[in-house]
Amino acid sequence: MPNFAAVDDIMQETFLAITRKAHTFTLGTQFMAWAATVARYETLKVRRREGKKAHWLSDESIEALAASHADLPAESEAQMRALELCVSQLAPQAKRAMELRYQKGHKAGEVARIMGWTAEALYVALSRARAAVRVCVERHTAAQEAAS
Amino acid sequence: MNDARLDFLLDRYFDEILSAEECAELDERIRTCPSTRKVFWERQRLHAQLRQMGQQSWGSNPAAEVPACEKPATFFSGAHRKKWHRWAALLLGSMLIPALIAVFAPRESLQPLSLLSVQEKTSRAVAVLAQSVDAVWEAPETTKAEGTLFTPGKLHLRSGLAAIDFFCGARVFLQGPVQFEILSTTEGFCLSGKLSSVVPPTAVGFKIGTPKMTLVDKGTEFGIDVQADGSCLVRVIKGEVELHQGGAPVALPEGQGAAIDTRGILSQTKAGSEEFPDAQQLRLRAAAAERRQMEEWKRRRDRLLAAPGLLTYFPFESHSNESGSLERILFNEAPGATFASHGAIVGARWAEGRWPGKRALDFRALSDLVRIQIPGEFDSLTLFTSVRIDALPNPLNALLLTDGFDPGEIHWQITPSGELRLGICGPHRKTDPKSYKNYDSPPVLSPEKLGRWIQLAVVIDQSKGQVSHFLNGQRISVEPLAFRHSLRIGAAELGNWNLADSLRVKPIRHMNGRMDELLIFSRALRDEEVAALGY
Repeated sequence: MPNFAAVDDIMQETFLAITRKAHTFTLGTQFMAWAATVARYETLKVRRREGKKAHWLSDESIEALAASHADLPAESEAQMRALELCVSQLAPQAKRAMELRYQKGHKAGEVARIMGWTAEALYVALSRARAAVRVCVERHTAAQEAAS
Repeated sequence: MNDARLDFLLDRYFDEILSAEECAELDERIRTCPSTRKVFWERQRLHAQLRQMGQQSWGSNPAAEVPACEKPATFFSGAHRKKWHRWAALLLGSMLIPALIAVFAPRESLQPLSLLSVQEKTSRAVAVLAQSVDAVWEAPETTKAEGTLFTPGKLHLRSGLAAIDFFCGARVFLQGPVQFEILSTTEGFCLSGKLSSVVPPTAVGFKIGTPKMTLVDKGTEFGIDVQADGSCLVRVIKGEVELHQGGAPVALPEGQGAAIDTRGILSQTKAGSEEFPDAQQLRLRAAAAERRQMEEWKRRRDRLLAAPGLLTYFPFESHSNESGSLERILFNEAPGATFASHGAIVGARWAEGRWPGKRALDFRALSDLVRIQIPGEFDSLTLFTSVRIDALPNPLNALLLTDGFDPGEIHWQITPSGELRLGICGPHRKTDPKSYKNYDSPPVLSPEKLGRWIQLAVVIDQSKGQVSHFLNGQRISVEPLAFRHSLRIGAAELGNWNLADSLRVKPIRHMNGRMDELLIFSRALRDEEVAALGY
C-alpha cells in the first residue's frame, strides 16, 4: 500500500479495532499474530471499498508478502541515524525532491509540478536518490556494526 | 530477471505511477518469487522510514506546532493519535506489523529527524533533573546525574529526594517512593507518593494530575500525597491552587488543605502538619550527602596511594601560602613524587569540583593549561580523569597531550562528535608521517552529556595488545594495537597543546571545562580496577 493517505486510514482502523479489543489479548507472539490479522483484514477492506486500482497488487500478492514479512531483520536505531546522515548528503535538488515527497507527503506528480520537472525526470531523480540513500545506509550500518 | 527492472518497478510502485502492465508484471514476480518479496520489504522499509523521518520533522517544526507550553496530548488523545498514526501508518505499509509494536513501545530515544535542516541537532526534552540527594531510581538506570534531561515519560523514584525543573519554570520536589510522570513542559502526573511544587509567575497554570483529581497552580507552592489506592491529601503552602475533578473547579486558598477519598469525594480541611519535600530539606540532605561523599573520596584517595604502579596522582587539591605561589602548583601526591613531578598551572583557575568542597581547575581560555613532566618508558599505561566537559568547540579537544609526537608518545583528546581518541605515535614517524594510530571510542559525549561530571579512562595494554576506552567505569571500546613500541609521556600538557614552541603556528585544542582528578598508572588496569577508580 504505497499511498500515504490510504495507509493512514488503514492504520486508523486497525488501531481502533485493536484498542477496542486489546483487553482480550496479552502482549506477545499471539498478540502480534492477531494484530497482523487485523491489519491485513483492514487492508483488504479498504481495497474492496476503493475498488480495483491499476497500481494495486493482487490479494494473492498481499498474502504472499504478509507471509514473508517476518523474515525481515529488525530495524535498528543505527539505521535511522544513518538514514538521516545519508539524506543530508544528497545533492540539493535530490534532497528537495525527497523532502517534497516524504516530508510534505506530495504525490510524485505534484512534486514534479512543484519542481517544474517532467514526471519521468522526477521519477529518475527519486529512484536515484533512494538508491544512493540505500547504499549509503548499508555502508554506514555495516561500518557501525564492524566497529562495535 | 534482472534487478534493475525490479528496482524500476518497485520505485514506480512506491511513487504510485505503475501502469497496469507494469503492475501485473510486479504482481507476478511477487507472487512467484521469494527473493522478490524480500527485496520488496527492504524497499518498503526504506520508503516507510523516509516517510517516518519526514513526518517526525514535520511534527517537530516549531511553526507547525502549538506553543512550547501547550496543553499536553496524552497518548490516546485525538491530537496525539493523529500525529502518531500519521507516521506509524507508513510503517505499516500494507501490513507492516512493527508499527504496532511501535504503538505500544514508542522509541523515546529516536530524536525527531529533519529533512529540512539535517545539520541541526534536536531535543525533545521538557524537564531536567536539577538536583537529587540519595536518590535511587527504578532500574535500569538506578542513578541519574544532575542535569539529566527528561522527555515525557514515567519516573519511579524508589527513595531519596529529587528536584525536577520543568522548562516552563515550575520545580517539583519528589520524595521517594513516588511514581511520577512527566507529560509536557507544563504538566506532570502523580500516580502515588509525595511531592511538592513551586510555581513562579511565569509558570502559572502548571498542572499536576492524580488518579482522582488535577491541581492547577495559580502561582504557588503546594504539596500532594497520593496513596496507592488513589486517595490523596493536598496542602496549599503558599498562594492558591484550583482543584479540578470534572465539574467546576474548587479554589483552595493558602493554608487550606483537602482530602480526596478513594471514591473521589472531596472534603476541605485545614492544612495539617504533613511534611512535604522542599528546598530546605533538599539543601540539608545535600549538605550531609556532600560531606559523606568527600569523606568517601578521601578514603578512596588514601587507598589509591597504595595501589601498585601509581605513577602520578593529581587529586586537584589547592594548597595556599602567603605569597600565593603554591596555588599555581598542581601537586602530584603519588608516593615518592619528586618536586619536578608536580604540575605547573598556567592560566587555569581554581573552581568547584564534583561537589562543593572538592577543588577543580577550570580550563576555558586558549592559555589555560597545566605543564607536567613524566619521565620514563612504559610497557603499558592507564590514564584516568574526572572531568566536566562543557563544550567541544575544536576539531580536537585536549585532555592530555605529549608536547611532541615522537614514537611511543600519546595524545588523549576528544573529537567534536564526542569520541574519545587516543593517538599513539608509531615507530617510523621520522620516515613516514602516517606512522601513528588513533584509537577512537564511539561518540559518547552527546550534547546532553556536556556540562556534567564524568570519568574517563584509557588503558593501553601491550601484553594483550589492545587499547580500551572507559566512560564512568564502563568499557566502551576496545581495539587491537596497530604496533608495539614502548610508551612515553615526558613533557606534556593537561587541557591544551602548545607543542613546546616547536611550531610557530599552533593548532587550537584547548579544553573547555573542568578537571578535578587525574591518575596515571604504569600498568594496564583490569576492567574491575578501572570501575573501582570511579567515584
